[in-house]
Amino acid sequence: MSIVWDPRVCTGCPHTPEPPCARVCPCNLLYRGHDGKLACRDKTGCWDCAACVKACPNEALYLSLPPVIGGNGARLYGRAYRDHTAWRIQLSGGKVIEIKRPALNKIVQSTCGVESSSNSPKTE
Amino acid sequence: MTSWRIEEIDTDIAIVGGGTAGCMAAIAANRLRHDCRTVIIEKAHIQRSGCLAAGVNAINAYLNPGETVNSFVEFVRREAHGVMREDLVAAMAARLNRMTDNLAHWGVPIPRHANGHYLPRGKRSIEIYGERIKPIMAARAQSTGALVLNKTVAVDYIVDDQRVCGVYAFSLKEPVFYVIKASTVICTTGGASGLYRPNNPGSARGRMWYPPSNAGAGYAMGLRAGAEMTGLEMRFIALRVKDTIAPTGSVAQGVRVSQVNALGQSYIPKGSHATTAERLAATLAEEWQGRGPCYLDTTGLTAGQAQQLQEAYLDMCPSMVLWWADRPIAPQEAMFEICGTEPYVVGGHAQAGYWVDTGRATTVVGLLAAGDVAGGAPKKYVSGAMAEGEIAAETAVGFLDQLPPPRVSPDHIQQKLKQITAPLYREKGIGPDLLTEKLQKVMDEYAGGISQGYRLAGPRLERARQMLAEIKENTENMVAVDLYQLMAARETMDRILVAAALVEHLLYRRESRWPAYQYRLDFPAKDDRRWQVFVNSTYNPNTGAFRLQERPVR
Ligand SMILES: Cc1cc2nc3c(=O)[nH]c(=O)nc-3n(C[C@H](O)[C@H](O)[C@H](O)COP(=O)(O)OP(=O)(O)OC[C@H]3O[C@@H](n4cnc5c(N)ncnc54)[C@H](O)[C@@H]3O)c2cc1C
Ligand code: SF4
Ligand code: SF4
Repeated sequence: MSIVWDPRVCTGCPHTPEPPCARVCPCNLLYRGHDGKLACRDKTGCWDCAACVKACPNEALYLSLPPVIGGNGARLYGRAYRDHTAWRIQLSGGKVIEIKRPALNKIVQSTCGVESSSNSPKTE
Repeated sequence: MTSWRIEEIDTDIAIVGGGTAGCMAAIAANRLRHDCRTVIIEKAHIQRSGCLAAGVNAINAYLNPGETVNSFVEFVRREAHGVMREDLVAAMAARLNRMTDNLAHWGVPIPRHANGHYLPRGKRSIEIYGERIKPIMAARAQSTGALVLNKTVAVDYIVDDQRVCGVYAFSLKEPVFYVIKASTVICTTGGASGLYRPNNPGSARGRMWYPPSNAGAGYAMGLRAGAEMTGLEMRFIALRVKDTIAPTGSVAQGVRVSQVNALGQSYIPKGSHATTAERLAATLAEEWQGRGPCYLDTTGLTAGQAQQLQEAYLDMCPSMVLWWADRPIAPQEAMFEICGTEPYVVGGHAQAGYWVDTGRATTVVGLLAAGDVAGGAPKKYVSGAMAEGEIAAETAVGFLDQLPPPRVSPDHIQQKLKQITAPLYREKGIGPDLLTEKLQKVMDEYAGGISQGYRLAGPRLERARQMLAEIKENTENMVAVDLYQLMAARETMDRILVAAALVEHLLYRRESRWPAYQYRLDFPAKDDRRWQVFVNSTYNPNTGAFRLQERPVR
């Protein structure tokens, strides 16, 4: 039960032959259900790779730890953009941290000459 | 299920598994021969399949300044405790840096020093921002014009007169059975997870280190085709962060922290040359002597380093970041507990896999292997899997004009279709998940799983052998209600066969060579005079018997 989605936000991506989230799941767990929204064959088989989370254009999905290893309600949202990945971490207390990571190297080459990572995080 | 459509495809090279090695093989084949027709068969979608689905934050096999092919070979020899194929490791090592440059060229962000060198994370490792590594590789592979069959599960090789000349596969989207006829087949399906009961129970069972989707198909297909396998008994057990099963390397290497027991004592001295297996064994020893749990001491990290660590985990194992967020704590506020994972069979870290020649040709004509599924060459990681993919493609292209056109009889196709789809037509029986659970319990308890502290012994292994034979009989009763479950049924069959082969290897090696990976309570000493050899096996699908043989280490 690591991925969670909000059926009010999920559109089911009706104009795609296969929803983006389902397309990229390495474990083939996701599909468009009878109600036209996202459905999961077996949440216990989820690898927590977040591929689906980053592929959803509507940020309808997030990762959350199952109670057996977590259970305090923290959420991890993310979105893959062309040249970076934008992560949004909602701590269990409600505070939100955003982290941007480079995903295509043009950015890195122009900004990184030294040791540390180029993108310092924004904290709200 | 309604009627099946049979689709025949003719190609020059069929690549089974569009992961790291598979994508690179397609790219290399196209570069060597523009007119070469290539088909990639991928059970998920190549954009995010296999080990790289979440991303990576390092290239773990790279020759930083000062390292050479020879020094890499010597490092691997130590790690493999003497049993490894020098020819394979050397051929791979010579290409590691070029493979890494390829990734940078294709767009993967790899930070560099002002002097142009990549940032080292250890002697043989560099940092990368690799969250997008798989989509980037996949785009390259697709741009070669290769036909990519996504959501298509490979089930067996087409074998004609002892030669592999294609692949049988079925689609997960619609009842289509593929008969892919190829002059050469390259197997790149990765290693095998899910043979043993995993660390996390029930609702979190999928949160393992190795991808649950790499179910050992390539090993099983090879065994059924009579290919020789090596080194299965060198299992891989990773030292990981407890619960999230996140790799510890980012911490231990990226920012240098020490490994301590519950008393706060460091049990692996700084700068130690302990092998990966010895580090795991040292951790287990602390546990057994009552000084566990053991931790990675992150409390000395600066806020900046802790931030760096979180970012690195987002690129590779995002649930680690979620774990901190769930407490909520910052990484430097508490040490994190470490544990061993369930044992995996994986040639890219340990050395289980096809017995290949330097060109990565297996012992079966027409069949090559690369990456985690290929044996004899530990410590491949991303760049090594790519190197092997390229080597295999070179060999495959060389074969193209030499082998006669592939043949397959219509009778054989019908037989195979019937055999593969049988679980869909059974009225009653056992679901694949339940049978896998049974397999994992047996392996855990009788073949050195987590509950046994990984320790092995002859009588228990013999019991495992017996029980696996019973489980194998149960596969005749497997039921599947849809194509997804048909895939699961196939994975279960494959895992059972790989587990049976593994048990034979574990029984055969009557010494203890690799701490924790292969430790026999009944033969606790390492015996170089007798056992500095490869243990290889071949399977006879008609009788169900394995033939074990030894090959010398050169
Ligand atoms: C979580 C994790 C983190 C890692 N981090 C790093 C790192 O930071 N640095 C590093 O250098 N290395 C890392 N590695 C190791 C490295 O990723 C692997 O060794 C390497 O990618 C293996 O490549 P491969 O091609 O053999 O397997 P994969 O890339 O896994 O490819 C196998 C492919 O075969 C497909 N497949 C399987 N069965 C079938 C079937 N029946 N039909 C069709 N397709 C099938 C799979 O879906 C998959 O796409 C990591 C590994 C893991 C698991
Ligand atoms: S991609 Fe997002 S919106 Fe589309 S089906 Fe998946 S969860 Fe729903
Ligand atoms: S997190 Fe990964 S394994 Fe889990 S449902 Fe999403 S894509 Fe599939």
